[in-house]
Amino acid sequence: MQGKGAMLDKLQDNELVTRFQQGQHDVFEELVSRYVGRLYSMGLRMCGNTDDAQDMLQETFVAAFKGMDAFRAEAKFSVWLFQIAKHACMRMRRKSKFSPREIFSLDELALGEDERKTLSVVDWHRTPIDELLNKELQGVLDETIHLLPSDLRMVLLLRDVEGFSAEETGKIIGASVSAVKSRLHRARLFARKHLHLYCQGEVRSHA
Amino acid sequence: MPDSKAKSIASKMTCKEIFAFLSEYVDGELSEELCEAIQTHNGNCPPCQAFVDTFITTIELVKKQPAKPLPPAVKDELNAALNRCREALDQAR
Repeated sequence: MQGKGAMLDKLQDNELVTRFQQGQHDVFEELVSRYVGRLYSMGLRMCGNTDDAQDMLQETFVAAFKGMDAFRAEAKFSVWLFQIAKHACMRMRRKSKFSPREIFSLDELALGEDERKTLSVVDWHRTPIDELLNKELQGVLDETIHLLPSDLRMVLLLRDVEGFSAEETGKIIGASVSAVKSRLHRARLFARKHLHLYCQGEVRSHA
Repeated sequence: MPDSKAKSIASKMTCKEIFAFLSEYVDGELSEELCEAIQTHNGNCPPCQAFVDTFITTIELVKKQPAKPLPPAVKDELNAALNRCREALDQAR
């Protein structure tokens, strides 16, 4: 006979929500276990410190718990939960003194003349991903993401780390699909530029 | 699309235009015609090809980032907060 947890983990998110709305409040634990790691990671990358990430995590799940009865089944639970998390992140950000530096302009992120002369001989893109993703580069990636303005950072995390579609990301952040695509493009270009500078030795990891 | 048509479009595309389409190209959102034109352009423009390769590598690195470990104390405090919510909800009913 399977335990209660083993059965719950086979249910879709929205089926768990229905059970919650029918009074089975302990199913919320299963929803928490599905999203707690992802939300904490996003919170840490958005807020930049563990205290704010913890506050954001707690605020998100408490608000979700209190709002579960109002959740409508036609929505997607993960999108709704990340909407709440996005608002919590914004509140944490307002409390924070951290302010990213000015991002490069689009022209600076494009293939400039200096880079045109050297890029074809730079071989960092030929190294296997798993080899590249060592501890130092991980630190550079964290730093790169942290340097992005928060609206670009949020889109990069939702699209490329969390795997939400452009439409879902637009719903989460309250922006059009074209705005999501534009922000994602700028964020990726910025990340590429920063990694390229690191690989050329012009940026050092603080990890 | 015939090779000659792709070559014709590619010959008119500037490096800057390629650059503007890159995310849609990587995400598979461009028409076959434009994809072929970009590939043809890049075949004749090594810096653009290297730029695209480093752009794709960057996206793969971002996507493959491991999740941040969740400290047990954070999970414990979250559970405590949710238990308080559940008790309050149960008492209210």
